[in-house]
Amino acid sequence: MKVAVAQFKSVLGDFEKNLQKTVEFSEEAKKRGAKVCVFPELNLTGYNVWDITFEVAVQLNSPKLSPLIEMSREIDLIVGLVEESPEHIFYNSALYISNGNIKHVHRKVFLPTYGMFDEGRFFGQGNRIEAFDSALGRSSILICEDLWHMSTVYLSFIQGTEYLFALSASPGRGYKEKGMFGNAEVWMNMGEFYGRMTGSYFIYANRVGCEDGFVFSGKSFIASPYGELVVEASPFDEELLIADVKEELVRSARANLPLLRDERPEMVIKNLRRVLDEKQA
Amino acid sequence: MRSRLERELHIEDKAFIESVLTYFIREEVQKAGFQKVVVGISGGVDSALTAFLSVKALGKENVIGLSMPYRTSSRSSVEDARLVAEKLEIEFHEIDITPQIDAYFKQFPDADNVRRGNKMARERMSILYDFAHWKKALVIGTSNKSELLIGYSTRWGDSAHDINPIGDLYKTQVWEMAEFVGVPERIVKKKPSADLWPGQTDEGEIGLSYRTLDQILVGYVDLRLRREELIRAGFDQKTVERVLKMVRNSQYKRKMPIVCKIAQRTVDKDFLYLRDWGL
Repeated sequence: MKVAVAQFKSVLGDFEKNLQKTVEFSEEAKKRGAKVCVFPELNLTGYNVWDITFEVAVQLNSPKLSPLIEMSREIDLIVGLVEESPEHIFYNSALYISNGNIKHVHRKVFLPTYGMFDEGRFFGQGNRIEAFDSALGRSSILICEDLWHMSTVYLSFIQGTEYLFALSASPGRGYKEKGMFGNAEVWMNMGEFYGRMTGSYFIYANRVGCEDGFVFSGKSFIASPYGELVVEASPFDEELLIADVKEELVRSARANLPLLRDERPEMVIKNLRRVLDEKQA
Repeated sequence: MRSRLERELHIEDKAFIESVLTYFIREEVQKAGFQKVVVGISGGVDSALTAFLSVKALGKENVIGLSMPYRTSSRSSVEDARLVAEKLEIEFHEIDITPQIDAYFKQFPDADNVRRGNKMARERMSILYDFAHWKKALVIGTSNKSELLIGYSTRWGDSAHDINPIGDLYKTQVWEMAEFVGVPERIVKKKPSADLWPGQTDEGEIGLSYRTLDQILVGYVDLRLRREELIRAGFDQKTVERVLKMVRNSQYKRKMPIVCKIAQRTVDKDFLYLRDWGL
């Protein structure tokens, strides 16, 4: 089955323009035979939204999303936006839209608020890591900083996730690597490592473009359940990556390395409980 | 530790960083609705690197170089500025700022070098912005990270511009990159000078070499080392303290004017939008 990753450049704070381009990319992905098209974190709004947060936020029943709902009758979509909850809390969210419905919502759980990041100032924290069935199979969506915490990957894994969608808008930094920013290299290491350790596809959609001198690091990729890079994008250009993902390769990887079978969540939770109790005591 | 700091300054893949900087120039200029930039070319390595990157980013037909000497500017500065423009085959203007500077200081014959140097830097800024309007261009800045951090610049003079591709490169990294992109060797190798008065050199005025300065700065700024840790790394205590003091005392130069808050949202405080809002 084919999956598409749209390495995307957003216009900061212009929902309409970004929406239109999202539809165009989706049409192209559909034409090229993909069943799912994945976009980066906050692709419909731009990343450093700051006070624009409150101007570009949409509620999930908003007619503004109609073009995507319509598009999803032809190809499943994962898009990033600012979600406004009914009680007016604003989340950095990703939606899985399929066959005219928003089938799954992931609200970013870890909001980086340090150094150049200021997400905790504007967004509410998500609290759920929940696997769902995408067109590909058992899947989870995580957003950027989520993946820098092992716990989120573990929680996806333990729910049987075979396709991990990793959405990011990662500003480039670090000049110690070849042909890419330092952070792009970390993402690749992460994809190769987590792909292998979880026996899952790691599908990484990152931004390109520039917001006030933050140059997003591109290099989107798909890593296999054997931890190999299947496809990778350039550091700067918008492009559509397409790859064939194979359920049988997940099976093969998990037969050879039965880490999910041997995993012991009861032991983990007992120890977590003990550690927390000891800390409180 | 000191060798760790030296390594920290090394740029591994200069071709990649060149691509990043040229991508940045192209994106930020074109998103803002422009095609061209004007750059003040002094004959020094910072402006030479900036001009080279601009040409790579936008094409030689979209870069306008301005050399703005004063009568005391060294002849080699003027010649090196010409050399950069010739090498890049860009539109180039040489504007002598002596008449307006001298006309002003006729009223203040006792003005010291700093006043005169600052006035010249602001005169140059004023000319760059006049050209920017005339040529429908943005002003591209040439301040490196070392000078931004210690405040070795004239407020609203050379520090005023629209975009700056080299502001995250320390001076020693500017040398590395300049050599890589093909800036003529004699410009890369010469002693850095603001050339605001005869015989002035940066290192003489700052009182230490750029190598040492950059190692202390990269330790303090990029690695967040504390004063004691820098001293333990092998730097002289007085030098460390002086550098940290320069950084602290020049913070005002890196900020926009501060506004007194009386309302719910205040332009410089909690009206938070990037400049690229809508771009």
